[in-house]
Amino acid sequence: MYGDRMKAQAFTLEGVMASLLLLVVLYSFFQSTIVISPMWSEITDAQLKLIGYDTLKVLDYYRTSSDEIYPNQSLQGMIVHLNSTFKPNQDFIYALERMIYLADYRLELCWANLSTNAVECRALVDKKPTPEAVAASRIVVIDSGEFPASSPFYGRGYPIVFEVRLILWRP
Amino acid sequence: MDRKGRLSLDMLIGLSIFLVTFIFIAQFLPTVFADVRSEIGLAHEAYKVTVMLAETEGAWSNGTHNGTNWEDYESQWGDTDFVFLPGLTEGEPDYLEFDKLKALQNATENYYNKVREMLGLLTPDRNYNFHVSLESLDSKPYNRTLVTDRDGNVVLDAGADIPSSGYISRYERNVWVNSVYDLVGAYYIGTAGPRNVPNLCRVNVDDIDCNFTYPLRFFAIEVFGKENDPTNVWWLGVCLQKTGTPSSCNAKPDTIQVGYGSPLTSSNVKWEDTLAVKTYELTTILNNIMRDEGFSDGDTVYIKIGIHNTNATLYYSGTIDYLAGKAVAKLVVYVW
Repeated sequence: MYGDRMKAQAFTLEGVMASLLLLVVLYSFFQSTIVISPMWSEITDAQLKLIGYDTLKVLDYYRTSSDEIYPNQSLQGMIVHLNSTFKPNQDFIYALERMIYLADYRLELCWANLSTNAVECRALVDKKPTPEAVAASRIVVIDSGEFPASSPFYGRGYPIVFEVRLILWRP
Repeated sequence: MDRKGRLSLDMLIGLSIFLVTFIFIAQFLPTVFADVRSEIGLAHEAYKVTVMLAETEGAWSNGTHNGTNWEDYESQWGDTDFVFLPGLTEGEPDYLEFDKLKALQNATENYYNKVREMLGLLTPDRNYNFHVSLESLDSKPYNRTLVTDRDGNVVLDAGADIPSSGYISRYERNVWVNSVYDLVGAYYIGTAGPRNVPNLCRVNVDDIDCNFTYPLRFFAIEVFGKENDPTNVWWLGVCLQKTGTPSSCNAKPDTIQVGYGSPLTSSNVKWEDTLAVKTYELTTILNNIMRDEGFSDGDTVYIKIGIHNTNATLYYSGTIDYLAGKAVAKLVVYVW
């Protein structure tokens, strides 16, 4: 009779081990960088990116005649009124912050310097973004005659291409 | 030899634990990647709707003709052979046309299911509801500020009622609207005839008093000319105060002056110009003065407008922002 007794502890243990193995594999699978689930943060960044894109588009002022003066609140007005400190005027900052409302931001300006054949960049609003920040940018072209003598772009003699980069994140 | 087939209890327990785990994982995996009714699907639908509304000028077709001026065919919106995409732009992304905003309001009110179908929210395998509105830049989901037109009517607030719970996706787009004067109230403040003023103002014998909130959204004065005698002097003064109504606001002859405090003197005038037949856009000037005087968002500002021998109209809005020469608001889309 002792030979017929079945001590089947191993069945329970095998079932438990198999379950644990499945769970560990699943956990490792999603913790790796190979698989990115759509439920993660990328989908929420689309709204912030749209806000950045729309803000720069609205602030881009299209003149209907060369006699028109760029509003201070526009991208062009902000760039034209920069001096050696590269600090944007208060009207522009007000308009920008009104449109991106509650988001924090960093503002950068890059331009093509034909004298040195290089692209130069400066941070106009120098805040440190978080890892989840998104960026939007817009290209504007301003004629050299628009800049006053106090501007770092005065006297270049050629239209200057600027890239305004707006980096946004949720505080 | 007796052979009694017995089913081990341990085997059953082990098998049950394994099967429960396997079924859990089989259920869990699909929901991670795709679900038509999940929050991910809603976000895509809401994003798609904002692109169609805020970045396209729309289109229409009745099978034989087509065009982009879908807003002009209101009598045909309900026809089965008439299809239209209700884009709102003037041909440039984020630049919305006032007439199309009003048309979308009417179309959604009268043909809600058709508009849903045209926006791709109602198909044989999906059924979403939506709500679209034009709101002020600082409008919040729990305290919405809708943009109103020059007659005080809401410009766009259409669609099904927004539910208070459940999966809802919300997207907003910063836009500007053509034209600004469709969205601001026009109030005659001159000396040539009876005056009408915004709700927050009152007319006195010689001037007008207003209580607004900082920051001002849109404030402009259009001057048409002198009232009667062209040889007589004319002037226009705007005085601001943080507390109490300004006592008087008489400007220098032949000038328009803006100052903080009253009466206007050389020490408190912050901006002035020669008075002429033109429009003075004063939003930024007034907000800058108030900012320099330490105003915080939401503070009440007391404004007195003094005017003499001048025909003029005040353009004012408490809902649309005037930024970089444009009437700016946000288009908000909810999908659920």
